[in-house]
Amino acid sequence: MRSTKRSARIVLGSARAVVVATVFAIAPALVAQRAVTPDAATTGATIGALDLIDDVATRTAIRTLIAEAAANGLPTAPLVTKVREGVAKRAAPDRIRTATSLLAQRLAVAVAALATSRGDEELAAGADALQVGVRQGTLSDMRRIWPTKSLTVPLGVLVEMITSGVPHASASKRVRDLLLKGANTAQLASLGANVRADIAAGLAPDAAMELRSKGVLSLIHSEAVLTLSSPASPGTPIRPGPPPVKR
Amino acid sequence: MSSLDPRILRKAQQGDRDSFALLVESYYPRALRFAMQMLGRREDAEEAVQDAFVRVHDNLARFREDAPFDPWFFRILGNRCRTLAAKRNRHHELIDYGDLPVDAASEDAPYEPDPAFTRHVYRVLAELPAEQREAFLLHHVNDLDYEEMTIVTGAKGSTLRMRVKRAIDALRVRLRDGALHE
Amino acid sequence: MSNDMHNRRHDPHPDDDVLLQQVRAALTPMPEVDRRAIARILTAVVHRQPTRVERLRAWWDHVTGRIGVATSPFARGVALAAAALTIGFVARGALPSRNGTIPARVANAAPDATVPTQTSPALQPVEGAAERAELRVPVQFVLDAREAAGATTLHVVGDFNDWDVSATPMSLERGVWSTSMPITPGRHVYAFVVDGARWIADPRTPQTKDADFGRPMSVVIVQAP
Repeated sequence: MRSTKRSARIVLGSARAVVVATVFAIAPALVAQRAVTPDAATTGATIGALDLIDDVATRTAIRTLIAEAAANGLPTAPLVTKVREGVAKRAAPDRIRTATSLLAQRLAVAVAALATSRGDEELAAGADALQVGVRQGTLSDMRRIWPTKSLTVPLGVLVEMITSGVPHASASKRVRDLLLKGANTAQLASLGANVRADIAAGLAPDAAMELRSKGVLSLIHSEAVLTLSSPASPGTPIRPGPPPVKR
Repeated sequence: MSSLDPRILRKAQQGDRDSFALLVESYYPRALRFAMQMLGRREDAEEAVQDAFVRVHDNLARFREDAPFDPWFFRILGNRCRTLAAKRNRHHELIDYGDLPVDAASEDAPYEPDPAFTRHVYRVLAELPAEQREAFLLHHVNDLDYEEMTIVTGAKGSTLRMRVKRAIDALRVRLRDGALHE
Repeated sequence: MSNDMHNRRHDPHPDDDVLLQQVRAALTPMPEVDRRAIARILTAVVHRQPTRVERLRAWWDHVTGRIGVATSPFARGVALAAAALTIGFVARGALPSRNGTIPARVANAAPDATVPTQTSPALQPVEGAAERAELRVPVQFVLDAREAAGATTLHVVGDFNDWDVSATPMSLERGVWSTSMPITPGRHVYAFVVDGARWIADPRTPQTKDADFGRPMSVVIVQAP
């Protein structure tokens, strides 16, 4: 409102004071127009996805569910994708409805936990994390640590660690620590891939997670030390420290 | 009488896209049926229905929640049909029989419609004056009462009853002349 | 207006007789709906911009509704003049919108309606450049032909292509099926579909349990560029 007054004063002379007063009163109302929403595809996609379900009752129930989700401020694209997934996998209509309903519930929690979410992908990743048992508090914590950066990849790595067998508490703590210490998404994604490879090679999930997390932390620490002690001249690569030794 | 959940209508009024899509899904078949029966050609009917829904969308925020939705909707649709009919100037255009809905009758109808009889009905309907045709369809096919029909057409109840009666008389005479059913 | 109000279809009516019921039966069935027509309607309303007259009318309704402006001709004239000035200011960008930006279109529906949360699709503010996380990274999918012996077609299906079984075909070359597609960073699940019907997991990557539908799925974590 303050900026509105300032701009208006710059434009209008004092002789138009009466009109200016009226403008202040009505400007917010005037610019409150019907939304021209950016995503026409979503509504069409909803209809297209529902068409694939034969059962009328299920179609109606899911349609209502998606409409209510939208009214509650939830992203509907992940719900539509879930419907399509169920259809592609030839799941029973009831199962599709249940899966979509549960996802809507998780999305609601993710919206609350992640607040100021960066978008549908992040919220969907949050919903996936909740599905594998990550606590809402963990999501909120991650958002506090990374308030402006997307958590899509960190959440995906967390989910993957848990589904690979790393205990919830351990996986949550280690990912959280990595975020705190400044790991980037590339490092987190590499950690995820390495942990999976280690588990496939026979290492215990928790041990693999601990090992690879320490590796990333060590890398971050080495980069920090190198940056402080000898600022790189342009074109000089910063070499990481020696790799951690396997116990 | 409205087939739409009032909560969906409210959300559509608030600008929710999915709720408006639900509204369209709910009303489209009835709207198309009415428009086809009024205009006689499917492509004209689709055009009228599309125009009507756009106008519904544009005016939905101003629709009073406590008012019945169906008469408001059919008023807009009726206007679109009348406008298009006047443009096309085809009061007696026969329906394209390929478009006739010949699938199962609704739950309410105790009789199985015979395709030949159905074609005859559409032919006679198309020959009626537009006002009589509209009144008949609103009352006997779309289940609006005379008070609601007044909202749709602007005509008084007594006028509407007369139009419906004349439509029925004409149907009775011309269908019995065809002597397909007793 | 007559007090005679019975005229619902299920109520007895003097006009009802067998022929009328037969006519109703003939006219009751719904026509087949072309879903593209519905899609056209929804596309038309989403892209619809209110005209200046429609905006003025909506504003007038809002103002007279909220502050009870007298509708004398003089008052209407003053209000319309102010409205015209304001429209000019907004169009030239001199007045920011409520959320502080100066977009061509801003959010809100009926002014007195319950406003959805800030994450509602109907209320998203105009955003700047796409986030890095929304940029897509090419990911290659590979399957040894021996893992799908006898297959004539192979497709990859996952959350990144809307679970469309036919959207992403793979091509066979020198005994290896492969394809590449751009995918957003994050964790994604997928499978291969043999000849449009048989689903198999990627033997090269760890599998994950499908909690919703029970199919074996593979996982890829795509990192941001």
